[in-house]
Amino acid sequence: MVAPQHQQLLSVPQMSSTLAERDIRSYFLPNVGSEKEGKSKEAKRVERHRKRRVVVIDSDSDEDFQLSPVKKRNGNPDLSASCARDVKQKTDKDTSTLKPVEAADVFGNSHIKRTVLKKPAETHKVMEKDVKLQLENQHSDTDFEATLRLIDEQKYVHTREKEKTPVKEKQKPQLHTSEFSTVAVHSHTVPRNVTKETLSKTAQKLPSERKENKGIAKPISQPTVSPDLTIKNKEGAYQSIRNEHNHEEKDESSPPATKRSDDVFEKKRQHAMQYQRYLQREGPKNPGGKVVPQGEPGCLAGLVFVVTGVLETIEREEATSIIKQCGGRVTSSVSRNTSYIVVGYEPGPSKIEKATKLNIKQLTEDGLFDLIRTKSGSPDSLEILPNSSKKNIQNDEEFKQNGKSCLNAIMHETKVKTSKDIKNDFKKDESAVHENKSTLSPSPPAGGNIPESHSLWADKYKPLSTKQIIGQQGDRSNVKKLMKWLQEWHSNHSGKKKLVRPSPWAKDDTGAFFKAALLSGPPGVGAAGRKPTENHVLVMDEVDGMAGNEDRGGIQELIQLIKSSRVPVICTCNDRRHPKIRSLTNYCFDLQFSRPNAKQILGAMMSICFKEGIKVPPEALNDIITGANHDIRQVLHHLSLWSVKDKQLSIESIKEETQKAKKDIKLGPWDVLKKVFSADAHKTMSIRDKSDLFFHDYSLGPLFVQENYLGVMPHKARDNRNRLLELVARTAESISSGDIVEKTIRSKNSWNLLPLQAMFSSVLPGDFMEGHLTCQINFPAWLGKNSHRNKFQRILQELHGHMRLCVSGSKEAVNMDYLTHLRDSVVGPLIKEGLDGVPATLHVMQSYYLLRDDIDSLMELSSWPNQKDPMSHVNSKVKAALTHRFNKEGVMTPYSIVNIKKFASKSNQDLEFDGDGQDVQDDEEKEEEDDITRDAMIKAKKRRAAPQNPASGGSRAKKQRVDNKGDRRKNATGKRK
Amino acid sequence: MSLWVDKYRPNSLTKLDYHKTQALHLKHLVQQGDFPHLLVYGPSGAGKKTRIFCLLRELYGPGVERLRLEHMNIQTPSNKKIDITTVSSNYHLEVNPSDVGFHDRVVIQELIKTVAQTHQLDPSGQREFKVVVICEADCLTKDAQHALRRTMEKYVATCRIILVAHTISRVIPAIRSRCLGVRVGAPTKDEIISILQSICRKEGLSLPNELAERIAMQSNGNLRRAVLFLETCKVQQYPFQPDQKVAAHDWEIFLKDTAKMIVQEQSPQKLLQIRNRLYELMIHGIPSEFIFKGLLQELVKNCDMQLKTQVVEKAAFFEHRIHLGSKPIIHLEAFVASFMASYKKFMEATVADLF
Repeated sequence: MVAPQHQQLLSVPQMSSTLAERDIRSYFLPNVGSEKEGKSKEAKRVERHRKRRVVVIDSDSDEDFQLSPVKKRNGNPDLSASCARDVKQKTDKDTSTLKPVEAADVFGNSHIKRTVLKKPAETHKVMEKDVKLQLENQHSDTDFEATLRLIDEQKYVHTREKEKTPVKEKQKPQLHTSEFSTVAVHSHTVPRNVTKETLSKTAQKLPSERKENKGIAKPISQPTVSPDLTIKNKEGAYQSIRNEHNHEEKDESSPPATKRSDDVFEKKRQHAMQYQRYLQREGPKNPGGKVVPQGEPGCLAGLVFVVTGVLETIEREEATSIIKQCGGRVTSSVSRNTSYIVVGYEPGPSKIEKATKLNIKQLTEDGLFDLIRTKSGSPDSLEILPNSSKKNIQNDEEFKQNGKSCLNAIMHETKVKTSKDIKNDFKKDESAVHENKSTLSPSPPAGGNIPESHSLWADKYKPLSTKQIIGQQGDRSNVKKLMKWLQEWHSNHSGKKKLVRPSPWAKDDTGAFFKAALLSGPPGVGAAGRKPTENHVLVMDEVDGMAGNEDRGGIQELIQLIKSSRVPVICTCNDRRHPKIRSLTNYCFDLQFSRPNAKQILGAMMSICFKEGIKVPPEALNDIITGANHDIRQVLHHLSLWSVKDKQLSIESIKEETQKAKKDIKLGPWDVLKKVFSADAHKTMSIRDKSDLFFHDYSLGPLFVQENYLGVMPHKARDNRNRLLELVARTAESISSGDIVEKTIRSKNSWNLLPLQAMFSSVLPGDFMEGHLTCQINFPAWLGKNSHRNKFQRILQELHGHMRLCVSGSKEAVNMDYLTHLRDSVVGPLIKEGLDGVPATLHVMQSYYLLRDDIDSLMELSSWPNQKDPMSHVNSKVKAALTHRFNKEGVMTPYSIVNIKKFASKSNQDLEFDGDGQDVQDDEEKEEEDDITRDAMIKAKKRRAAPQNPASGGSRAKKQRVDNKGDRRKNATGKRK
Repeated sequence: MSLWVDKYRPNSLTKLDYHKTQALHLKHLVQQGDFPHLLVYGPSGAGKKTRIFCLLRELYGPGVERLRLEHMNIQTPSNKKIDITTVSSNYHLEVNPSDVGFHDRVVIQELIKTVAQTHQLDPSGQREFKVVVICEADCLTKDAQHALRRTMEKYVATCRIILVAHTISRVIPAIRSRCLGVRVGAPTKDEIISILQSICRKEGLSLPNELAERIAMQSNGNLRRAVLFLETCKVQQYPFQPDQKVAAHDWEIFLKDTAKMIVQEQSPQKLLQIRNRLYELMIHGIPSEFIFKGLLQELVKNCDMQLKTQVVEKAAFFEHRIHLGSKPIIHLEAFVASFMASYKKFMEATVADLF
């Protein structure tokens, strides 16, 4: 087994990780605090009594401790007896009702009660057997527990005799019980969890433990089954499983493990020679040369294997997985527990030596296969343990194993390794990394030691070296550029070199000038995954995420930081063109990542699938990739999600799943519309899919449908115009209903009606008009028309505002009644009389307070398609004359009228006031005018308008003076502006 | 030189040409010294505003005629600045809150309140209250109407509100009950003719009765339109001919043509063209009710009785939907489409009957 070596190498982080991965249930159980205290104490003791089997207890998987050790130690017989009775009753009840286990049983307090039991009565034992016999298929919690208790009791007695650390002894059964119950529960409930993970981690074993394990395992592992096999076997099975648990607990008992691993580490160092040889070792000589027997699951149950050397036809990993499939366990080093050692070509000398010393049977590859074949015939020794749970465990183990192995593969080329070489492997990797990037420190392999089956695949298969980055292998790839940039950074910025800002178009730019690099790309291409972890690089992730008030000025600050930085800065973002990022790009070596193409992803994904043991046909995988829109992270997520359900993904299921995944991609409105009306697309779509089309863009979608439904040829109405019109009418009505719903949604904020609108505005029209589009899809004209309409309304309002004093009608009336007449009376004289008509026109304009611009507005408002603009009949000379005279004589515009009128009335009152008062007025007026019109025309007109003011009367001269004054001021301000 | 329609607008209650009893009532009302809020309603061109103006003149004297335009800046609670133009004299204020769209509530709340809150400084002046004329009261949003309701009650001492509306169906009952409703009905044909004749007399023209009648017919009870038509006729040709053509409005012609197109051909392609024409009408600010009416009037000409009822029902159905929905064009189009479908069927059935 490969894993333990990893652990050796980096046991400390691993420990912390296991700590961090305490089963969540542990937080819900009482006495957690005391447990912890107890644990630390125990840990020390464990140090002392490492060789003893009991070491198990110190395991980090303290999650299932339920009682403080103190209580246990003082465990008074009476109490325990009563407890036993309790349990017995409970068990009886359980068996009688055949009640399946419930979550409450596991999480509740009853659990704790049970574990208190230390010395079950003899009768209990008998009963236990009965129960077991009765309930072979009843995976009741109590059942397991009881069995366990039985076992524990034996052990307890056994250890008691030895008189070693009673505390731990006492604790042990409890521990087992809990462990077991957890397993049982898992088999029923959660497919994967910490316990099983830890189970799968059965790696490191102490010799003593091995021995015992072996001893227990033996009875079952013998194919010659004794007559009273059932019970014994059952017990044995439990025993073996228990042992497994022990191992795993031991495994997690990191202090000894660490120490040991350190020793091993030291030893390994001395074996550099062997390592060299290992490096040159080939793979299997004859891969696939033999028929690998399909052993029955569980046929090797309880057996412990060690594989060493290169096997003849299969890779070591394969061998491991085969053994595991058969229920056997594979460990990495030889111990007394080891049942067989499978020896291949060039075996590890130390292993062989140890194996001979311990008198362990040596098998060749053929021997292994034979063993599997013979054992397969033997009855299943695992009747008690629910098959499902066993399988789960196996699967999990397998999963785990795969994870490990593929991790190794990721770290390095896939090679057959003996366990001891893994570490060297790491070393090699390190060196490789060193070679690759001289300035970069090796990426810490920590990721490899975190239990991978827990982590997301995206994290698990995160490229650890630049080599593994998909689609960035080329010499001129961005990653290479980045590497180079990093390598040269310090030399570039040591101050000696003078750097020239490169032209932005320079192609082979090394980015030497920049102190920071900006990696940008769409999500999932790995912009973030690319940052090589390094001590002396500042990585600013997702700089485009800087937003809101907290991050205000963040980019500016970042730029300042970059300017003064003494280490390379790497920023990552998704959208480089984002306005927020724009200023940053000036200071960064800009590296844009694009989505890798499907082939590149496909290769990587295939290898990951292989490593995970998923069988996915490449076509299906291709579907997934396109479905995920080339987002590697997305593809990984999809794969890992689906593989949980089923390891063997069929094309059909993939198709189905990708369909689901595809839904997440946002379609453009054009594509949506095509689908809405396409008869072909409807064949595969459910009503839900159809309504989902609407939700791609629910504000624009209905408009598109409305705009284009007339261009669809419905297949239902081929050669039948009546039917066609009927369909059109129904569609139109449905769209009209949709509009009502939309109004309700928008005005009353009842967004829960959106699905209803989807029906009316998209699904029903699509259903009625199902067919094909006969013309190209148009962008909804409504938007343009609506803004056009608003513009007309604005002009009209302005016009109405001008005419308001002399027209009683509303805006609408002006529009519908006055416009034509007004236009005719304005333009008529010009057309009829030419230059002579100008005064008449001016008169009309004056009486309605129209501006020269208003004539244009009039024309625009009153023009209809296929109508000639009446102004075009007017001679251009006449037009010019009109404009000239208008400007010269002026027409009192409504605004100037307002001003003058106000002004007139005010100035009438203000005549006595001195200049200051008038100044104030002027200011007021100016402000008003600035607000109202930005039109230069008004100034010119106003000057002439004033003398014509009929209301001005006697104060005319005065007013004009003021007027001019105002104008001068205005000019002055205009200049200032 | 104003258009005749503005030139010959009566400016006192006694000079009004029709609904004289009503004018008399109004006069009495004013002479009483005080009157409740008014809700003046009636079709366009019936003389609502004219009547109100006469009333104000009766109330305050000729000072009301000194009008000025004022621009107000109001800030909405959401800090949006809105401009609104008001016409006012020293005694009254005329405002059209629906100019600012759905912000009309703010106008009601801020502007009218400020006006209403100020007391007349000199009570020895004519009246103790000011008058606020709110145009297009039926176009006010519900929010604005509810805001108005409160304003009306609170400031009844200092101000009277005169609401002008086309129809009271869109005025909430709460407001209707707070106002004295004054319905100004459209003038009858004869009344229009007599008014046209009197205008011509004042202008020194002779108007053939036939022409006057045709103008009155075409104006459809809209006096403003009738007077404008008269003037157009005069511009076109004088002396008047009895058979002179009365030029219809461009939009009317356009609408009629559209209806004709619908009858001519029924197909999705045609519907597409119709849609564009309808858009054109909408752009020009022709209210959808008018479009519906115009279309329906033209369309039913070609239908038999059974189809007529169908079409009218459809029209009513979709016209109602316009008010419920947000995009009139959709409902107009749906009406046209449904007409096309049923008309096509009808035509084919007729043709089949023939053979």
